[in-house]
Amino acid sequence: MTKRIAFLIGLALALAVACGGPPDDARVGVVTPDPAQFPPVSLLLDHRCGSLDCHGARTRNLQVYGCEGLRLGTATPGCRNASGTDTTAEEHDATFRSLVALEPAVMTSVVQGKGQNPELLTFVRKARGTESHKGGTLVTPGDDQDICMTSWLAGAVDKNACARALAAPVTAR
Amino acid sequence: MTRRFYFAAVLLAVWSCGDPVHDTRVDALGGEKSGVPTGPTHRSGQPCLTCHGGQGPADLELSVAGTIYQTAAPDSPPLEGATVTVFDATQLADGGAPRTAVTNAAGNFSFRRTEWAPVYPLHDISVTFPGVAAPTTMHTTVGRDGSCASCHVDPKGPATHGHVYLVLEPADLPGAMP
Repeated sequence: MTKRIAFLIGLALALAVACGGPPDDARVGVVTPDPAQFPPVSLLLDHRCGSLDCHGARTRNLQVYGCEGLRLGTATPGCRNASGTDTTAEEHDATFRSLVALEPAVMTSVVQGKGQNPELLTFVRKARGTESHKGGTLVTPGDDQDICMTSWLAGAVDKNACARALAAPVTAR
Repeated sequence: MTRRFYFAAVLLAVWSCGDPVHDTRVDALGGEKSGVPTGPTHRSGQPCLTCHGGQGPADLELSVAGTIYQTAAPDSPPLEGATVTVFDATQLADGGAPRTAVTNAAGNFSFRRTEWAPVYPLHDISVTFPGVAAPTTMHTTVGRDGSCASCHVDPKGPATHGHVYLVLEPADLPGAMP
């Protein structure tokens, strides 16, 4: 009899816990790298990942906006050097939001770890080709592209590496 | 009971082999244009690899294909005799050996998969035409899709630059063009 009562109390407690939840207006946050340091990374992502047939498509989980691909608003694809308009602050922000929202818990962990183990993030693994990626292997650990991304994750973006990566020709493999 | 089970299993296996997404894309292209025979000049402006990309229904598999038009105008005629130059990731634009194809009467060009299976990204894609001094060059790379028209469709918008063209205005065309 005592066991039954204990069981029922336990069950009631378990139900109470299970049925309780966060308030309706609660939000699960993400600790992100500094958005103010993101534009050089955003330009690189637009250049290497954001073509309209890849992450410049609205059907991708990671959506990259910028003048080389998908535009926000009414502008058509094309940067200033192609008679268009350069990537806007809003487009950098849209790419930032898409990127940090992919794996918020993992992003938080990597950022809180000062960028240690960036390969925990799927987008880093895919870029490095260590995880299946339709676009293939795009960066090599330690090259300018990789440093551009991982330095941002670590809290101090290497603008020079980003600039060099942006200017580099498409590599012959 | 046993017969019904096996019949249902076979039906399920046949049904599961289809790709409804691909089928929908093929269906969305519609039927053939009246008066245009099936072949190299058909379905200009459509994403060629939807049918010719290996999933059918076309038997001929292409790796890169598209349509070039004379001008940027939405009603532009196609451009015949243009040379399309494409580099893949194994070739640097500076000193590399690109692949070339010439457009036919419908403005269509293609590379057969059996002749060339490019390594992505494709880059420094350009169109040249006799009488036009500078090539028209695509500034961005192609990451995964060999159909020009997957991205280059009309009307222009935030996700497309419109169809592929040689010159902006008819006045920029060399001599009298059709």
